[in-house]
Amino acid sequence: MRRLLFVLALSLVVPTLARAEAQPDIETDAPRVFSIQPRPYRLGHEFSLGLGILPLDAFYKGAVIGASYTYHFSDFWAWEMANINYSLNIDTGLEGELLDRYGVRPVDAAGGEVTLIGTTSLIVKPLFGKFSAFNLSKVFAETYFTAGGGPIRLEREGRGTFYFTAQIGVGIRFWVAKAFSLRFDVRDYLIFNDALPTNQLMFMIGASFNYWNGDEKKPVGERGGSFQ
Amino acid sequence: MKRLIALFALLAFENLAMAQEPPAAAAQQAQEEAQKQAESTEEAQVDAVVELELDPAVFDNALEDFYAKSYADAAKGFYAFVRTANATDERFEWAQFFLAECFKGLGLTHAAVQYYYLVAKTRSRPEILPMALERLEEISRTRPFDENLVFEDLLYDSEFGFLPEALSNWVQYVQGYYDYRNDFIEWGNRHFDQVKTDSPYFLKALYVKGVYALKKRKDDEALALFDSIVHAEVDKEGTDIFAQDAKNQAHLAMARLLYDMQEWKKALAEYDSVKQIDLSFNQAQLLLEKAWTQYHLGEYRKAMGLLHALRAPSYSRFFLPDAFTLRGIIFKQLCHFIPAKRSVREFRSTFGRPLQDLRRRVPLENIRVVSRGATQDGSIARRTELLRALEKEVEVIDKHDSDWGEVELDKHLRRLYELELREQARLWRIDFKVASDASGLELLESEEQMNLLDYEVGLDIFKRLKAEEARLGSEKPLVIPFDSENVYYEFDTEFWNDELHSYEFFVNSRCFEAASAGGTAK
Repeated sequence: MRRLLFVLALSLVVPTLARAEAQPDIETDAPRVFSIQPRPYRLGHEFSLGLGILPLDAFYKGAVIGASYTYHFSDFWAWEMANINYSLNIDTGLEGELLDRYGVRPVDAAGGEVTLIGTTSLIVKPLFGKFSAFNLSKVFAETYFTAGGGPIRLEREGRGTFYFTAQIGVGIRFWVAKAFSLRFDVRDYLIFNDALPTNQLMFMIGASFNYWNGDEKKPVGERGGSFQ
Repeated sequence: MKRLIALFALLAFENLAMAQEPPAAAAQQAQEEAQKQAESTEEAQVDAVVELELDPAVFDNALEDFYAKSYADAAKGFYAFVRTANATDERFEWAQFFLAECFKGLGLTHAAVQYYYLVAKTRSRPEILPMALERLEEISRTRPFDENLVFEDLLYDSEFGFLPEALSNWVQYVQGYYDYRNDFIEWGNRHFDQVKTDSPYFLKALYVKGVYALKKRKDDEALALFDSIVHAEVDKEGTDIFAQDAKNQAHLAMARLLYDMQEWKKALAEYDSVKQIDLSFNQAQLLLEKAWTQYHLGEYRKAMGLLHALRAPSYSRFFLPDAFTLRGIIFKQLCHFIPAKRSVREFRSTFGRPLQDLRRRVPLENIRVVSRGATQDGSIARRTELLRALEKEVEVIDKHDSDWGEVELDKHLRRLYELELREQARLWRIDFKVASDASGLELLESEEQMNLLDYEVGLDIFKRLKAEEARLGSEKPLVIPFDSENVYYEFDTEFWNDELHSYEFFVNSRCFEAASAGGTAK
C-alpha cells in the first residue's frame, strides 16, 4: 500500500517536474532582440581610384596614385585582384643636408625609393554599421581588412629592381550612393629586398565605383555558424 | 502636458460650475457672452474707433518695418491703419493681408488665419485673394488651425472665380469633401472631377470616395479606389510628405479591410507599404496592427519585435493596452509562462491606478491615461493640438504687450484668442465625451482580457503531462549568420527610427510536443 501511495505521489510530481525543467529563469535568459534589415549597400565589381602618401622614409615622401579592381564574392569575402600604385617621390633634402653639414652619405638599407607597387589581396569585411550624422541622417560604413602580396619596384639612381612584398591593411568605406563610396586605407608593406625585410606604410583616400549592385545579385542565402 | 492637464481640470471645473447654475442665470450669462462676442468682432472694432485720425505715413512706415522683418513694429502700424482707415481705402485689404503676414512671422498662426480669412472672405481686391488662399492652404497642411472657420465658413459654399491650379485643387477638394459629408454625392463628385490628377488633393478626393464606399458596404469598390490611390502617378519619387500621407492612409485602409477579411498575407503586404513619415500615434498603431497580423501568420518573433518597437520613447506615451494583451498571448503560445505572467503584471502596474479611478467613477478628464487615450487620434487630437497651439500663441502676445499697448493690439489679440479658446474648448468637450467613453471602455475590456490570460497561463503552468509521452519541440535553433545579405543589429537599449519595423525576438518555443499526438502541448 505504501509503495502504491509512493507511485501515485510520484506520478503527480513527475509531470510537474518535467514542466518545471522547461521554465526559463527569465532574469538571466531574456530573449535577445535583433533588428534584421536587408543590407542597403552591396558590392559586386568594384573599381577604385585613390591618392595616397608614403610617409615613413625620412629621405623622401611618396605621393601615390593608385587604382584597383576588386571582386566581391559575398558581403563578407572579396578578392582585390589587382591593386597598382605609382609613387612620385619628393626628396626631403635630408640626404643633401647630411652631406653638406656632416659630410656623410646614408647607407641605403632600404635598397631605394618605392616607385611601383602591385599587389593582389584577400579582403574580409566583418564590420558593417551606420553612424548618425548630426542626428539628421544616417551614414553607412564598412570596415575591412586586407592581406596579400605582389611585386614592388625600388629605384636607386635611376635603376629599378623588383622585389616581393607582403602587405596587410585596414580600411573603412563610407557609402555615398549604391554605386559610389569613399574609402580610406592604411596598408603596411613588408619588402623582402634583403635578409631583413624593410617596412613601408601607405595612407590612401579613394573613390570606389561599384558596378553590378547587390540588388542585381542573386540572394546568397545565409552562411556560417551561430554566434549564439 | 501639465498645461493640458490644467486645461482638463479647468474644463472640468467649468462643466461643474455650469451644471450648478440655475437656468435663468445661465441664460443671462449667455446673453452677456453673446454681447461680448459681438463687441469683439472686426466690424465692431472698426466702428468703435472711427473717430481716430489716420496718419498718412502709417501704412508706408509699417510696410518698411515689414520688409525689414520687424514684424512686431509692422503689426502695430498695420493694425493702427486698419483701426483708423476707412474700409473703402484701397490699402485697407493690403493692410489686413500684411497684418496677417506679420502675425505669421511672429508665430501667431491663429491671428494670421483670422486676417487671411477676412481678406479672402470680403474679396474686394481680387489680386490679394490667391495670396491669402495660398497662405491658408499652406497653414492647413502644416499647422493646427480652426477648420470650421477656413473650411466651412470660407471655402464651402463660396465661389472664388478663377484661381491658380494648385489653389483650385484645394478649394475643389474641400468643397467636395464637405458635400460628401453632407451626403450631396453628386455635387461632391462634380467638385472632385475638377481636381487635377497630378495633385495630392486628387489622392485625398479618391480617399474620401473610398471611405464613402466603405460606409455603404461596397468593399470591392472601396478596395479598388484605395488601390488606385497607391498606384497613382502623384509623387512616385516619394518626396512630398503630404502626398505620401494620403498614400499611407490608402495602404492602411486596404490593410484593415484585408485584415477583416482574414487575408493576413495581403494585409501584411499593405501594412509594410506604409512609409514611416513621422513618429505619430498612427505609426504606433500601425506597429500594433502589424504585430497582430504577424501573430495570425504564426510569426511570433516578428510580432514580438514589433511590440518591442512600441517601447521606443516616441511611442511609449501612447495608450495602446492591446499591446500588453498580445505580448502576453504570444509568450503563452511559446510556453514562456513567466514572461506571460510578467506581461499581465506590467499591465496591472501601468493601468492599475486608472482602472481603480474608473471604478471609483472619477471624471474621465481627470484620469490621465484615459484622457491621453481619448485625445491621441482623430478630430479631437487635432483640436487638442490647436488648443495647445493657441495657448502657446497667447504667450507670444504677452511678450509684445508693451510694444502694442499704444494701439491696443495686444488687447484686441487677447480677446481674439480668448474667444477662440472658449469656442475650441467647447467643441473639445463635446468630442471628449465620446472619445473618453470609448477609451475607458477599451481599458476595461483590456483588463478583462488580461485577467482571462492570467487565468489561462495559470492553467497551462500546472497542466499535467506524462513525462514519457512528452518531448521538447523540434523547432530549429535560431542562427545568427556571419555572412548574410541581411544585417543583424542587436538591440542595446537604443532605438533607431529606421529599425522600428525590423525588430525580431530571438525566442524559441518551450512547449512540449506530445509524442503520440504530434501536436504542441499547451
